[in-house]
Amino acid sequence: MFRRTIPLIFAFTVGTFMVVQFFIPHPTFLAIYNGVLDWQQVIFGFVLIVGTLSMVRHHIMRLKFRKEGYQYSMVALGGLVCMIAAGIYGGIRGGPYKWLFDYVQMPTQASMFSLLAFFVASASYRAFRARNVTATLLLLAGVIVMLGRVPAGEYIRIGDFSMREVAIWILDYPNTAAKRGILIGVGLGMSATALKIILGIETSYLGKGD
Amino acid sequence: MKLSKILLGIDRRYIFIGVALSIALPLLMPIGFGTSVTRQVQDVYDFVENLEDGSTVIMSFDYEPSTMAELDPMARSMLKHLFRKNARILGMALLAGAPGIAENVLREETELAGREYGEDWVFLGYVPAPTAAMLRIGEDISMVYPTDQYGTPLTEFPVMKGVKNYRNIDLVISYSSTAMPQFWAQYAHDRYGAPVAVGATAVEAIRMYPYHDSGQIVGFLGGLKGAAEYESLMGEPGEGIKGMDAQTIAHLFMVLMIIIGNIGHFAERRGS
Repeated sequence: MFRRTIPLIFAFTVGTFMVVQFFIPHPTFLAIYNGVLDWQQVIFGFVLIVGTLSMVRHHIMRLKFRKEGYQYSMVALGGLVCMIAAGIYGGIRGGPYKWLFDYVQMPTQASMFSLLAFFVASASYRAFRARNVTATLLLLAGVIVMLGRVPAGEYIRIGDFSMREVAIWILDYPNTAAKRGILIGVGLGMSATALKIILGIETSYLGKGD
Repeated sequence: MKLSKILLGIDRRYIFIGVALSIALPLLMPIGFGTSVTRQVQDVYDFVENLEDGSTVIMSFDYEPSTMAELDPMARSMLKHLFRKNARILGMALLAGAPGIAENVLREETELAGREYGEDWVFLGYVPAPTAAMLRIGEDISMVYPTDQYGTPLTEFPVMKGVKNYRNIDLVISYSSTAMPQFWAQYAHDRYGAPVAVGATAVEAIRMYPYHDSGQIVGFLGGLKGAAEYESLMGEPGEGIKGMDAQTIAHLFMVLMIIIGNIGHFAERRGS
C-alpha cells in the first residue's frame, strides 16, 4: 500500500489539481499552487544534496578499489572539499572562494569547452563526407550555415544570393519547420506521459518491479 | 603516393595547429570584418530601444563558465544599452555555476556606467528549481528571493520598490547555453505575459526560431555573431566584434578541411 497505492493517489490528486487550478483563479487554489511551487524548490534543494553525496560515494569507491583513472577521483574530491572549505572560511562574496572560481573554475571550464573547436575541426575533416544524398544535403546545409553565419558569407555568392541570405533562409524556413514539428511532437508526448502518470497507467517512477 | 592517401592522411595535430592559428592570429592582428544584422537581433534591440526610461528588467544569467566566451559579450552589450535607457536591473541566476559570472559582469558594467547597487541594480543570486522559480516570480518575487545574494532583505532596496511580479517587469532576458530560454518563454511569457528576450549560444539559438516566429520571445541573439550584431547596432565594438574575425577564419579553415576530406574521399573511390 505504502509503496504503490499511496504514491498513485498522491500523483493523481496533485496532477489533477495542477491541471484544474490553471483554470480557477481562486485565492485558495492560488495558495495551494504557490505551496506546490515552494515544495518543488525544497525538493530540488535536497536533490542537490543527494547528487553531491552520490558523487562523493562514487569517487570514494573508485579510490577504495583503485579503479582505472582513480587519480582523477582524487582531483574531483579535492576540488569539492577546497570549494566548500573556501566558502565556509571566507564566504562567497570574496576571499578564496571567489578567487578559486575566477582563476581556477572559470578558465578550466572555458578551456575544456574551447577544445571542442579542435575536435570538431578534426571530426569534420574525417567524417563529414558526401557519401549519399542525405549526407550531401547535410554537408551542404552545414557548410552554407557555417559560412553564412560569419561576415565572409556576405561576399560568397550562390547565383543571385549571398551565402548569408541562403543561410538565413535555411534557418528561417527548413530549420524552423523541423524544430516546430519536433516541439509539437515533444509537447504531445509530454502531455500523454503526464496523463498516463496522473491516471496511474505509467508507474515506472515507483521503482523496480512496478 | 596516391592523391587520396595524401588528402585523407593529414595528421590531426596539423589540423589542431591550423585551428589554433586561425583563431589566434586574427585576435592578435584584427582584420575588421563588418557584420550585418539579422531581424532576430534587430527585434531585441528595437524592443530595448523602445523601453520607457526607468523600466525594470530581469537579467537571468543561465550559463556556466564553459560558454561565457559567447554569452558574456551579449550580456555586457545589452547592459550598456539598458543603462542608456536608465533601466533598473534585477540580476539572477538559475544555474549553480552562474552566480560568479553574473556578479563579474554586473559589477564591472555597473561600475563603468556609474550605477549604484540597490539604487539602480541588485543581484538576487541563485535559486534551485528553475521552472518553479519562474512560475513563483509570476505571483510574488519576494517569495523566491526574500533577500539578495548577500542576505539583505529586498525591501531595503529602492530598486525593488513597486516590483512584485511580472506585471511590474518590462523585460526578461535569459542568457543561456541550455533549454532555459524555452522555459522562460513558456512560463514567464505564455502564462504571465512577460516579454522575454534571449541570448543563446549558437548551438542553442537554433531552437529559438519557432519561439520568435510565434511571438513568444521578442527576439534573440545567437552566438558570438549575435553579440557582434548587437554591438554594431549600439555603435560600441566589444568582444563580439573582436571575436568575429577569429570565428570567420576558423570557419573558413574548417570548410577547407571538409573540402579536402571530400576530395580525398572521391579520389579514393575512383582509385586515384
